[in-house]
Amino acid sequence: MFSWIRLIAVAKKEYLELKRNLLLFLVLVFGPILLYLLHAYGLPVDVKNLTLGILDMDKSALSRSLQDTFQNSGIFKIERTFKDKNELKKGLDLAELRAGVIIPHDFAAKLERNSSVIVQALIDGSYPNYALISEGYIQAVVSSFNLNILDQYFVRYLGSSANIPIDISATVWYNPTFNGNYFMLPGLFALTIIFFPAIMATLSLTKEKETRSILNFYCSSVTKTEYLIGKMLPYVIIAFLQSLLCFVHAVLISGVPMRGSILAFLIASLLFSAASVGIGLFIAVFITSQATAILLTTILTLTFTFTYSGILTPVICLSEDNRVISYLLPITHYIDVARKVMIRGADFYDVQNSLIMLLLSCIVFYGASILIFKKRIG
Amino acid sequence: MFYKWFNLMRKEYLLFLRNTVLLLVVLYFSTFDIYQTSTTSTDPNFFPLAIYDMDRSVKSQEIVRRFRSPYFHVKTYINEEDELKKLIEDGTVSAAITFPKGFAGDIAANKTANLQIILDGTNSNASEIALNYIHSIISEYNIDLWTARLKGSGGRQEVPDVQMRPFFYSNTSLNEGWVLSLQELYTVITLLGLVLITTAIVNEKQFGTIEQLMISPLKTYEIILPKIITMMGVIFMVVFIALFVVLMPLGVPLAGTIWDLFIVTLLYIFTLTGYGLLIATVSNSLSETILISFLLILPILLLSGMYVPVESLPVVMQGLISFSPLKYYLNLAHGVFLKGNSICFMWKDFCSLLTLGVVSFAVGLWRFRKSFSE
Repeated sequence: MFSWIRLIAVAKKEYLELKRNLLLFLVLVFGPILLYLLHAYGLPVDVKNLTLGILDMDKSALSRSLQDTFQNSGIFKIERTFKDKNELKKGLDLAELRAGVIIPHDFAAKLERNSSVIVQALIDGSYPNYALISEGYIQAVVSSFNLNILDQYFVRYLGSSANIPIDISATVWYNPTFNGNYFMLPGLFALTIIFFPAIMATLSLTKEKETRSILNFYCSSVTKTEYLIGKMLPYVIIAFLQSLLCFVHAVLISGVPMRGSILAFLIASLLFSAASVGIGLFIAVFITSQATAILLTTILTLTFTFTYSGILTPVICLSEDNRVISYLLPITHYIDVARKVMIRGADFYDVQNSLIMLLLSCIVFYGASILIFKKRIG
Repeated sequence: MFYKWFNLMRKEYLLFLRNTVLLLVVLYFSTFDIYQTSTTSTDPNFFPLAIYDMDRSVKSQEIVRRFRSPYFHVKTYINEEDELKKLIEDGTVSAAITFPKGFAGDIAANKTANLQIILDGTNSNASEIALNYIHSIISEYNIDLWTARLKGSGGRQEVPDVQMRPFFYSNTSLNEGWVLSLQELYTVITLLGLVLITTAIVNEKQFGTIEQLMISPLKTYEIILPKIITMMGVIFMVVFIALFVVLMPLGVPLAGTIWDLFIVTLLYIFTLTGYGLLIATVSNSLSETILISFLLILPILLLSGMYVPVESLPVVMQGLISFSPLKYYLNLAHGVFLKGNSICFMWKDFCSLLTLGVVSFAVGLWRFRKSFSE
């Protein structure tokens, strides 16, 4: 027979055990917060200061002006000057440079003769993402330089500057200043509460198995449902409170808006806390050895999280196949709810699908754990 | 003495092998995990667009054709303003481009035509990059239009123009699968390195079996070193299998020599051992150890350069991350794999990693001895 009293008693025992191990308690409570703050202030929201080497073989006023255009773009950090191509290649080999631009010796001469000149860009391909971003930015700088010289050309030959054929007027919704915190911080809530709760849940159960203190439970009147849920309860509550703390920091200190339904956010936080603890529980039910359980939990949380959850790359920018994987992860839905509610001002009904997915994952993790867990030795 | 060590190492080795599930997990990490990562490539610049073309002219279609992969993905064409609003609100597309009526007419009449763009600021970073690309695409188109106009009217055949020719160095075809599998390999080494070594040490502490070893006629370092050497050996074997996966079925080219790769990887494992030893001396139970390791593992993996360039980090963070061994190993291993560098060539990174390793190992060993002599 299911009894709330016994469940609470198990939870209380777990909490006391946790509290009496002071170092563990401190790390569990403050560790995730520390990580959150570390990443909130330390994780850059945009790629900038890319190291760029310029090999200027022309050394004319025009080539210097191209260098200045790179310098003023705010994207590149120009390293020292380079003497020849080999030196530039060495910089790329040593990963001191992300890219190198070679300005040929007839750069100014050709432009003054009104002809085309080719500027070579050597880009380090060992990080394809950075390479593509670098290429795009180099192209952007070169284009803006081109517009400039064309304009001068017009003035010189036609007497006046010409109308630009197409002008862009951009409107940015929800976040007009491209404040990176709007994107990053709601994602970090999830990062904060995915690892520690899952690992703690795993450890707390495997520890009892490994040290055999689980025998106390085997011969008690506590049912397995009460035992498992009671044991996980303190971790769920701690994770939930941590997510709230991060949320308060983001809204009050970092100025991320809270535009939508706070109820939806709270429910999502609670469900996701439960789900990430549930992942740990699910693994611990199968596995006796702590080291093994930790490694498995890590695979299921860490390796998938960075790539598929949308923390760094928006899910919508992933390819179709990868989006299927990310749809199956609870963390994706939590981040989605957090961003939609906070930034877009979504209300409860806008995010109900994600909430249902979170609820489903909880039911799956806990249901399967309770089904599989056996209250006997061997 | 050697015999004593040998026996202890054998004990550790057997302990590891008899844990079948752990063995399976480690094997999964070194083979399947890496293989699977390489086949799922991520394309962060695949930015979904909606086009609202009220003009339906040749010019507008020409521009749309320039919004192509790998940066953009034109997802839908729409016919109504409301539809556009809805698509952005529910996140189906991240930007909408509107060509107003008379767009091509304005261009033909030498007036400035206006291109309207609505971006979703929720994905701030991606949207900002996309806006930059849009600017650059439109600038190029402007230049083309101007050039055409000049050629048409003035009879001049040439205009000044700088053309950029990109050439991708080292990974010339920008093969993302290679790089992803390598990065997964580094992640696996880091994880196994820290988790396996700390567990091996702390487990004996936790179960109290270390007391048995303490009363044996062995010195402290004789207890700890065989343990560490065995675990380093195990991890190195894992790396060996993983390397096989990376080189054979995935076909990642090894531009440098395999010996350089081994030396660099061994040094990295050694450094991780040092860090693991340090963590193990702080804590008494496995739970503590693991939690403390994760306080380190997360920033090390996220901030060492695999996901964001180190030079984009805030200055303070750049200082902190120079204590991350992965930062140097990343340069070294990528250098050997993709660029064919030798260790002598990359002596700076090698020496930094060596320093981190020797210092952490020495301090860890010293602290370990102290904690047992009390």
